[in-house]
Amino acid sequence: MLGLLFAGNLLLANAQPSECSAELCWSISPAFCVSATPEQHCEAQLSVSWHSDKAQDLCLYIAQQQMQCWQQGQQGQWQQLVSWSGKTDVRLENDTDVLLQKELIVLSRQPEKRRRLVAPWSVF
Amino acid sequence: MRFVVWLIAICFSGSSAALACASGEDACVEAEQFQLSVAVGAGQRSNPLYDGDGFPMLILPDFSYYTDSWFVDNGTFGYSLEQNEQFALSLVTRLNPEKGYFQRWFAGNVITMNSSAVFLPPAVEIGAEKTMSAVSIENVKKRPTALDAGLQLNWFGEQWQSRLNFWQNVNSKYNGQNASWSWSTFWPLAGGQVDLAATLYWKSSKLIDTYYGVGEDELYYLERYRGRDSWQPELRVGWQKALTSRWSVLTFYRYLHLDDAMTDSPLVQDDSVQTWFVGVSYRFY
Repeated sequence: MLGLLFAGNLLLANAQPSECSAELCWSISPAFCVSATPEQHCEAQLSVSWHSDKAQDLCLYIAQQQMQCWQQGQQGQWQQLVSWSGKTDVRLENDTDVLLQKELIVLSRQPEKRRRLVAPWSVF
Repeated sequence: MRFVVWLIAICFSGSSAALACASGEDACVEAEQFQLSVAVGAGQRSNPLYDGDGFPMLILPDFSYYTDSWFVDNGTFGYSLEQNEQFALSLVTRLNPEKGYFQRWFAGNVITMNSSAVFLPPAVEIGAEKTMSAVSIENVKKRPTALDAGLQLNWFGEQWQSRLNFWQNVNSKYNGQNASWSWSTFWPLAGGQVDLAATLYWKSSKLIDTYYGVGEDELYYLERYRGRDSWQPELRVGWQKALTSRWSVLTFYRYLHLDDAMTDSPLVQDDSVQTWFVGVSYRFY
């Protein structure tokens, strides 16, 4: 069920397990990808599916963008080619609350570097 | 298989994205990895004091170790309180470098060789009724080893960075302060990278008095001097070119101007400290 997709120099991790909050469950695939460098974008066919014990109004957001809404639904599916970099929020919301939330992340094969705070070669 | 996916995720997730750095820059290091480079070549740092030894520099070290918050970098030990893509605020400590002009084997001076230059003391008439207007460092008391602690603010632009330091002496050796503000930029040149940095140092009267003052407790025939606040601008230009992933060519020149508060001291002969180095560096880690 789980698989790894190689797309160019991106490694995509597919089919994440369902996550639930009260009567609402969802799964997102892929939830992260592994790129050659930290700056690289990930582009993937993102799939989101959800189901609920009770009918409700829900909207799917990626970052600040509303992707799709469902009226009085008990389940839903959505799929689209998405490009993201760094950490990006995916959320299922009703009118008032964020019901489920997950971060899409880009992981890098290259160790992350940080800035030095002292000038190099400054011993003397 | 699910385990493998998450194992990959864990293995590739590094430290926080704070202060993330584009790879390849000289001023970038991998977190939690000791970094050591050694440069071998020719160079010298002048000594502005009468009878002070210049420091021929044949071997230069450059070392650092950073975690997400703690760091040791070329003699500065620090803890970053806040850091993001633009700023870093850190608590820092170090040995004050001023003693390096008085004692060859001190902190940053450790890896140096004997000076080949013969440094002649000035011709001074010595008489019971005359004072010595030029004072050799060999005639004054030992200067203290001072520990400074303070705050450091770094901020970063696309092609530049700036650093503000405030230091307070914390082991009661001079009971004063010093501060510096530096701004540096870089650009590509001849397949390498040119670095240009301007720094302005401020040193409190207590610091200047402790190291360059001549007090009543010194020999009676020496000219007295009470230290004042000192402002010292510095320019540094360097060029570095990577030859391989480990070998680089390294050159730099630094000019530190000493103001009247320094040159009025009978210990001080020159109004500048000049440092230059030409060599090749090898990155061990």
